[in-house]
Amino acid sequence: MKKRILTILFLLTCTAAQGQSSVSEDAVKAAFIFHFIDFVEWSDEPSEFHICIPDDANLRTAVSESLEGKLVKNKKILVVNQSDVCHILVSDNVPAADQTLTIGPLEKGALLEFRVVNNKLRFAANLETIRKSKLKISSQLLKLAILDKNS
Amino acid sequence: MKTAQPPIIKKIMLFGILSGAISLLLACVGFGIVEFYKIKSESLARVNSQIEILIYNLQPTLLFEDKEAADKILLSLQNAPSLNRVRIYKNDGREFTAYIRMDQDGDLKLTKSIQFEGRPLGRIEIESHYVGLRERYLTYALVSLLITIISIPCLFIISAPLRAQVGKSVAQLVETTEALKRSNQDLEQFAYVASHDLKAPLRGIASLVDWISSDYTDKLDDNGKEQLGLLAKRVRRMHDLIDGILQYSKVQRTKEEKTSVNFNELVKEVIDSMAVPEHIEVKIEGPLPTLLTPRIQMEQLFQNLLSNAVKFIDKPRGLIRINGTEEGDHWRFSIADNGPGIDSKYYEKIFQIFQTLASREETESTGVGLAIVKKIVENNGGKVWVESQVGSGTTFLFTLSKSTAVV
Repeated sequence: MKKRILTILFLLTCTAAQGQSSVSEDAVKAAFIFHFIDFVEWSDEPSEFHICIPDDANLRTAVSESLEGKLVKNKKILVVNQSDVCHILVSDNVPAADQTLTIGPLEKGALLEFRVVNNKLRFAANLETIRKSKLKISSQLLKLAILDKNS
Repeated sequence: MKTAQPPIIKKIMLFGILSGAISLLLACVGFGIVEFYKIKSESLARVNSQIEILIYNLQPTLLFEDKEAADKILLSLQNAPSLNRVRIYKNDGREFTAYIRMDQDGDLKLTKSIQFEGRPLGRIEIESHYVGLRERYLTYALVSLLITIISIPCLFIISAPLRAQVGKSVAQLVETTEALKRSNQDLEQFAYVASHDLKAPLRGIASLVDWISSDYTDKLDDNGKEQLGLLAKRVRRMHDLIDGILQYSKVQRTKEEKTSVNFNELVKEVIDSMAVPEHIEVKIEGPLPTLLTPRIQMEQLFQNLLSNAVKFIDKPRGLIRINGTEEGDHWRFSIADNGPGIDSKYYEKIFQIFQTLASREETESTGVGLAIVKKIVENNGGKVWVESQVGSGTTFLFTLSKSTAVV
């Protein structure tokens, strides 16, 4: 557990240096995904978390390296490219799904979206879509989110 | 007519007002201390709740390294005037962000670790000061001073009847004491003068008796000679009585200076000067102390006690034992004889002046000696008493304070 946290903290310290290489940005994205799980509640609480990353092989590798098999909320993380059940889906094409934390373009219906602001990785949220979904996302997390005008 | 207040009343009045004012001030100080602790605990509770809120809000900012969001949260502290500084540190000890409202050390400094789901993220350091403490204390001081100033005349007015009553009693007491002192002085003076003046005609009578008995010895019959002998005896007794009264009044009148007196030596000297009859043995049994006392009075004391013992011993082998015992803060002296003893009902009476148990014809006693003993002992802060059983001898005991002991 300690080791994992140290890895994540290390990754987060890389935030300032992100943008310099796609690997470090992916590693920071992996850390973000890990923390997102802490602030999201699924109405059907899963026995393990499936993180699906079908499009971006580099990100999948980075996420898989740092999160695969780790425990969050006492549940194991599985990183896959495709699955019947995705608890977290990172993709440019996000289908409508009630029980999935979708990370992708907000205009295409995703709940969260990674954005780089001033060379730093941030995330945006679409409150309207979040309200419609069956997920509960903590206001603690949403306070940090970039909110689009129409949301 | 209004009489001037005696100084004691002024002192009582001053003391009363002063103690009232001090009590009030103390009460105010007490309230001030209570208030201080109240402010302290309130501040602590406030800072603690501020920390909890901050930690809750700062958790995601530390997780996502979002300094801007953290700064926005800290900016909300503008509405908390008691905070001086807030610093947030990351797990590696580096400062993440800070809010500095007043760059000076606070009265209260708290540090708490920031955790999320049991994972350490960093720590928060918060420095705060007690808001309005100085103003509150200034108000307290002013109110206390005002109350004290107002209460002094109130105390003065309230205590007036009591003061008048006490004043009256004290004035009466002073008057009575003065009268008593004067009367005592007059009495002593009278005793001294009367005794002194009586001695001269008495000496004249004694001389006349002498002349008559020598000039008219062939003209007087046996009856006349016997009557003249009785007259001479009565004159001698009267002389002794007058001497006793003189000594008694002298104890009170003379202010003798205290000197270092070695009682072993003093008692020996007294015994030597007394010409104790051969059949009586006087023994100093224990080592006696050296005390700071009036020497002549101590001589008189032992002289009277020893001559009293010598006078009454009725045994063929008389024994007088002198002892000194250290007891707490005093020394206890005892003079024990193997004389006839005294019935317990006379224990008090024997110390009264002119009181003799045996008839004057038997003992030639004046009844002044033990009264002088009592006066000397009491004048020196001690007490005197007798322990005795008829037929088993008598022990006279007296105490002298150890504080006068010479090391």
